[in-house]
Amino acid sequence: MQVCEYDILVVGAGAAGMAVALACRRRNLRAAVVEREEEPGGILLQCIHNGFGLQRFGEELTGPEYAERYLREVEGTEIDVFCGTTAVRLTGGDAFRSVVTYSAKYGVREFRVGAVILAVGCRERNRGNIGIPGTRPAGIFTAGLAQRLTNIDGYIPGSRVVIVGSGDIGLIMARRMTWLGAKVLGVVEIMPTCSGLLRNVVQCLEDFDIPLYLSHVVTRIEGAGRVRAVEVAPWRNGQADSRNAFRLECDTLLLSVGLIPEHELARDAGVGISPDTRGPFVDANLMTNIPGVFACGNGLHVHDVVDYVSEESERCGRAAADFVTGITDTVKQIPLHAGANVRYVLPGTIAAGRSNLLSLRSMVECEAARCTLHRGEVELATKTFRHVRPAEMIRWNISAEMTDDMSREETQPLDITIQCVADDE
Amino acid sequence: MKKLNLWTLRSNVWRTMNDEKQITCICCPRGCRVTAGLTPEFHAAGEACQRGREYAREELVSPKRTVTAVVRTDSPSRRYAPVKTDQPLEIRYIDALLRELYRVRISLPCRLGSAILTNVHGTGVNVVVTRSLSDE
Ligand SMILES: Cc1cc2nc3c(=O)[nH]c(=O)nc-3n(C[C@H](O)[C@H](O)[C@H](O)COP(=O)(O)OP(=O)(O)OC[C@H]3O[C@@H](n4cnc5c(N)ncnc54)[C@H](O)[C@@H]3O)c2cc1C
Ligand code: SF4
Repeated sequence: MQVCEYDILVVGAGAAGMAVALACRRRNLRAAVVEREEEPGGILLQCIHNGFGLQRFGEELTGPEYAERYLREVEGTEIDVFCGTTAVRLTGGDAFRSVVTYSAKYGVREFRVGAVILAVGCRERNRGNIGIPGTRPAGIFTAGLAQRLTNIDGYIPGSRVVIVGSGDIGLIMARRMTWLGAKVLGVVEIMPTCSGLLRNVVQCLEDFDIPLYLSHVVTRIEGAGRVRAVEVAPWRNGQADSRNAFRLECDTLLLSVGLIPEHELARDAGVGISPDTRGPFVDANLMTNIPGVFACGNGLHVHDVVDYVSEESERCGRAAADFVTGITDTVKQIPLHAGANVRYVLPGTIAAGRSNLLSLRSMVECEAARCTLHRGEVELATKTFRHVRPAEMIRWNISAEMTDDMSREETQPLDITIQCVADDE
Repeated sequence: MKKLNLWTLRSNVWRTMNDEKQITCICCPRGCRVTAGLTPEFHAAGEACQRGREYAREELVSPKRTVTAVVRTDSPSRRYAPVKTDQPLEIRYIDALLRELYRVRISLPCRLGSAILTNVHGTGVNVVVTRSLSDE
């Protein structure tokens, strides 16, 4: 087995991997990136619609355009990118980090490195995860797979389409399929609210008069060789109301029912996985419980927009660079937990005396919500956010002054809560 | 806020007789439902601010969207290239544009930003490639 030595190894060359590698390269570290696919870019390459980069570049780009900005930058540096190379095993301890990779071109290799950054992205939940009964005919795709088929390979998955789940990928695919000449019969969402962005509801559904069935579920799939129809029923008090069920004749079902961070590589190495994000637990430096193993991007937790992936990854790159160059981090870290109405908060600790950017997801929807950071009964910081929805991540920067005196006090865990408040507060 | 909602609701009932449309403003996450019409002159109800009013007017007078698609290349290995309109295009031209794009074939290599169709239906809108591809 060939052994390669680098300061940093990044697994995954999507938006996260490219940003994190660039951040390490800026610190003059020797960085390598391994990517399973034949080319770098990640999921962005199949997202041909626009709406990327508004926060980061102040203009609306398509996914491939956003990727190309980073790719050009990576090409201009000495970062070694190995495509068609899959990381299959990660091991790490106090003093070593090793990643074994397979590839048709380079064979089996072992990377011995100062730090490993997992930028592995996420995968889609499928029918098995949501359990729709019925036959198992052809014509059922996850929305992201359909997106890849239409936008990279140029295939049209079907002509009469029903979409399950109102996430953004499903909404985007509703428009894409319509523009390809297919008929989209409806989007079926179990929750009472849409989980995609408003803009996508308007421009991908309302523009084409595609019905959005909120509080509805697909109760059965019909068809022998190929999907012939689905049965849809209202969802009331936790069960399907079969008396009011109706049939939609279709040949294709697209599932857009959520994303899960790819966590197998990390889990098998002994990295702790959060049951809430399904990605690794990380501290304020985005480092996992294995020293020198970091995580960022959709492989850490699922992000709504790529701009935040890039920002988080740059932060992760700086922290990994500090680790490799031996800038010992003596900052005290205090555990942080999700409290009332918070589905998750990330990272899992707050660094005292430093500014901390928190990402959190709400369990409630309200026009205005107050986020509060507590230590026991004491309120340490509070901020009101507008238009809070479970589908949109809240980002809250806790300033250095606010965390200043934490370094002096004992490390009683903190927790964060969300509370709806009157609109005009 | 409560009052506004009620007013929108009530006004919809008697106004849907005209040429009015229900428009969801997407200029901010609040997503006001605006009821707006053009006869006898432009009027709107339900929007919480001036931006929403302007948005509703534009949506009635000449709604536009950015179109993205893929076009066939002459390469056997990289068969499709992503493209977009460089500005939003009036909705009424979108179908014709999509049909035209279906027939277009481009040759590789192509550069991000290079135009494959110009001045679509005399609107001044161009279609550009959104990814640099070479045939390897
Ligand atoms: C279908 C879809 C549509 C989206 N639409 C929008 C949008 O409209 N606007 C917006 O702002 N954001 C959107 N997003 C979000 C945004 O694009 C993503 O959050 C971002 O691109 C994720 O970047 P990433 O690098 O974390 O993951 P990815 O881009 O998924 O990159 C991960 C990479 O890691 C590689 N990899 C994984 N495991 C291994 C391994 N073991 N060895 C080697 N390589 C490995 C994968 O091949 C992949 O290339 C969308 C996301 C998805 C999934
Ligand atoms: S009308 Fe104003 S407040 Fe309402 S959604 Fe539009 S921009 Fe937002």
